[in-house]
Amino acid sequence: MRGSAVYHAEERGGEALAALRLRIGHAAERLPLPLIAFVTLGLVVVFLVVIVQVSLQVEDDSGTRYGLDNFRLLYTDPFTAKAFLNTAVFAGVALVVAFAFAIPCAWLAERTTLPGRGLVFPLLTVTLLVPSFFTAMGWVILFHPRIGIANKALMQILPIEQAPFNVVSLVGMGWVEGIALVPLAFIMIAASFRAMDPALEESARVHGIPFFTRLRRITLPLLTPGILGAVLYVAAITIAAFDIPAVIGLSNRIHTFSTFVYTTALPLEEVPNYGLIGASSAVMLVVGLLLTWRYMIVIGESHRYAVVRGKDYRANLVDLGGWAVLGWAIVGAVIVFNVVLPLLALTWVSLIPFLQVPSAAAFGTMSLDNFRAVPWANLMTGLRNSVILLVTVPTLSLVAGMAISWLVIRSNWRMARTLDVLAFLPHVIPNLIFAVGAFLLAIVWFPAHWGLFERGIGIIILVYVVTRISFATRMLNSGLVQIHEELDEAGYVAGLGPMGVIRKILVPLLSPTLLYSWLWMALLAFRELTMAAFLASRDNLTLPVIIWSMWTAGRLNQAAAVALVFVGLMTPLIVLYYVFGRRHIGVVQ
Amino acid sequence: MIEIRGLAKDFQRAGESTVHALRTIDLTVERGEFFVLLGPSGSGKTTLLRCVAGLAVPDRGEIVLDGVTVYSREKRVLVPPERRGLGMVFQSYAIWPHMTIFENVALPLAQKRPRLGKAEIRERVSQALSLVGLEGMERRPTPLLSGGQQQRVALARSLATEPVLLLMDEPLSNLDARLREEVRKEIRNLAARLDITILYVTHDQMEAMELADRIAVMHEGDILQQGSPEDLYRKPADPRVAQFFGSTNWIDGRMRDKDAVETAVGCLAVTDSGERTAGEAVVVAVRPEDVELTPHGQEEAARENRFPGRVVSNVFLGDHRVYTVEVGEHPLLVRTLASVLLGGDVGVRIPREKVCVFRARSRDELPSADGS
Ligand SMILES: Nc1ncnc2c1ncn2[C@@H]1O[C@H](COP(=O)(O)OP(=O)(O)O)[C@@H](O)[C@H]1O
Ligand SMILES: [Mg+2]
Repeated sequence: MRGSAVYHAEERGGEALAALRLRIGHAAERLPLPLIAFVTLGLVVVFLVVIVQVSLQVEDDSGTRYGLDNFRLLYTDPFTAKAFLNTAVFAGVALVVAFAFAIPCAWLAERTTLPGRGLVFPLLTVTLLVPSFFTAMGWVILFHPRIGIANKALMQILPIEQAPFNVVSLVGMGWVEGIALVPLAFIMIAASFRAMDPALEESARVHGIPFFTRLRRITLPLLTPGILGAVLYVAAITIAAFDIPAVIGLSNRIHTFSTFVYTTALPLEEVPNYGLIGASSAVMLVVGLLLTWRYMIVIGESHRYAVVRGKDYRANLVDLGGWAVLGWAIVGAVIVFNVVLPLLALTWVSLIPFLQVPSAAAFGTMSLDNFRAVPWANLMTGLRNSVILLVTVPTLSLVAGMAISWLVIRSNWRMARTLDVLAFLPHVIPNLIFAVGAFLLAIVWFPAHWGLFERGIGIIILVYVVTRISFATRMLNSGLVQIHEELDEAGYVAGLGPMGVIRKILVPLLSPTLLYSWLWMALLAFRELTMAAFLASRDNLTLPVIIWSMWTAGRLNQAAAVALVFVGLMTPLIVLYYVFGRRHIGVVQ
Repeated sequence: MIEIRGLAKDFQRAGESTVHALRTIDLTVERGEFFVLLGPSGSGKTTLLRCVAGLAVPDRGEIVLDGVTVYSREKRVLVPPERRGLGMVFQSYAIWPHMTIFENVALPLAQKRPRLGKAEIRERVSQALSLVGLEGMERRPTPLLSGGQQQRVALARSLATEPVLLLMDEPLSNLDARLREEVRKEIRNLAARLDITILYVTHDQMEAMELADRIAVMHEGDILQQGSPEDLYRKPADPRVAQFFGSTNWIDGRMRDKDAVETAVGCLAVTDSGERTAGEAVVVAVRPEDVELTPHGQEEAARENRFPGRVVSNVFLGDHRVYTVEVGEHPLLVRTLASVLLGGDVGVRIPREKVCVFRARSRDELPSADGS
């Protein structure tokens, strides 16, 4: 790629033309881009560095020193060991569930004649946007071993003494997590299906190899790298997942890594042990990076199989015939489990005073009392904070993303490769780690009386932006490479400076990408619970955090009422996203 | 208008050797001149043009545009492209697809300082559009324009600010053959009409000959020769230049004295052998249309540069014929209007002033393909 030469003067660094940075005016025009890039990516590094630093820092009588004591403590503490073991079981179940649904869904959407299969992709993408704390709340209401209304109903109908399902368990949590991750796994696997040359299957068919042999000998082996890659990527997310363990496990003392860190960071009684938080996060960071490293290798290998896809893509679609019903049943199950069941459960619970199975008597108690009892004043503050995040996070992420992508794609600055790698890091490191990093930064690096937490939601905005920077730069990188560089150059010759070219030429040309990315990131910022929970303080509570704290305080009916309002607020945005983003849906990864 | 001194630029590609895109270029273009950079693909033409525009930064040397130093390694000067006030037509036209024709042409005008008024911009856009035959098309969106129309918009956009220097990078290469003819004529007319200096890049030797006041032939980052089209054609300073301008008969030989070369064809008298010395191995170039055919038997040994030959093949090309005539063992291409019998004996005359003599070694530097 021929980099835009305008940058040479500065970029060539020590060599040749560095000294040509003559006129202040002309240097100043270009300064904002590297500056924005450095600040944003600097934060990425700082958040990670602080974790490592705190994990190695030991406080004792003689003051502060560095050592491995925190890791030793982590290793010997039975509570910690249990949390890590729990995480392994939880993640294992979640992965099995997620892929058991995702692989058939991807196959149905990409390789069969399933009627309306074009809908599978957008439906599941939209499902991805439904907050998983919402799904988890629905499942607890239905399948809590003691109070779950579906369990109770089943015990009334069937001749059983015990609740048939227990969602408040590692397996139960894993199941809900798995269900919630189906859309993400689906998107990744669908991409592998799409990248596979159908001619490879077709030639097997022409040579008389029957369907199941073909599946076993050709299709699956070709897909293995793609699936393995997806498994590794989803695994890295699962081990740090917070929403679902926080909704289901936390109040029932079933801890995974994330809730363990949370309770260690914000214990009710003792003084928080920051060293332990740092050490456990560092361990997760290493596990995450190892998984990612494997993932990269696998993905790299999968290129061996990459064959340029022909135009005649439909040729190899499997005719499902009557089995199409089963196909839609599988896809439907994912949507029902993720959205419909929780929605029904929460709606019902929001209208009744306490958890009970629907009955004539129960219907008699229905009212809007829960909605009236909600502390709306608090909620309005939460709503205000959430709206601030919804607006600022995608906007700032795109500004920073534009600066980074421009430097990466359009300049041949020597630093550009490094910038690109740094911008990719948040994609592979769990968001939770960045939240912990920011938390430790605010507490440990800065004097307590500065109260970085108490000062509104600035720090939350920063962390959100940092974690979104990968998505923003991936989208903008691919948008920028598609814009012929001579369009920029014509702008320079016409008398526009670099900022002018970005404003007048690149931004308008990228506007579909920008709009789509903005909406996607806005929705994610609005529904985010994990990072907001870690960084919560009195003044910066967001709606999801408020709902979640009502929930953990045992006010289930009110929490359900507010959750419904919350999803109601999200719906128009999701519709907007669907309308504008349709062209782009599928590029999410 | 353009003075380029000692300009050099290398490209370093990861894992590959350095590409010397420009070696040490010296070039002067006079005001009002139509100057063409001609050379095969990869010879560095675009790089040179981009250095002049400021889109690429050279490693060494100096560029002066209209008396203003825009780049000098020595003086540490680098004027960015947006301050050079040039017009440029890109190979892809680079029409901004999100803007109408009007907006495309108006954008460079809007950057002028002191600012132009709205009415003046409108006026100058329509002037520029009528210059290229697009009057009244201001409101049209650009993505649906044909290649020829986009080309005109690009031209109008680059002329609207009335730059003193216009750069064009293979502006015709994306047009089909007939349109190319037409636009080429229009560009020539425009250049004649406007008081403008043009630096024009092409790999098409016919295009260069038709348009240029002067041509510089480039090869692997060097300028082999500069001069008028006729100079380059008649007096190539380098066999690669000769080869670039149409087919050539190449004959190996050895200098007998300053005015004669012993060759496989016979002893050739020449007028200008440059610095060649007696005994030196040389290669001789003769254009097929410069070889004359005479009736058999007139080739008395005494008369200069006349040889007996035999016609071995014949290609009819409408307005002329190309024969292959064997003189001794050596095949010569002859382009003529006359018709002679295939297999017949003929006389061949090679006028001494039409013979070009080059160092023998330079023959090896020719690109192997192409040629006669
Ligand atoms: N940005 C670049 N990076 C690396 N090599 C380049 C770049 N631009 C041009 N080159 C190389 O420089 C040489 C000259 O290229 P160019 O000026 O485009 O030639 P032309 O326009 O005559 O075809 C070629 O070998 C080309 O590969
Ligand atoms: Mg070129």
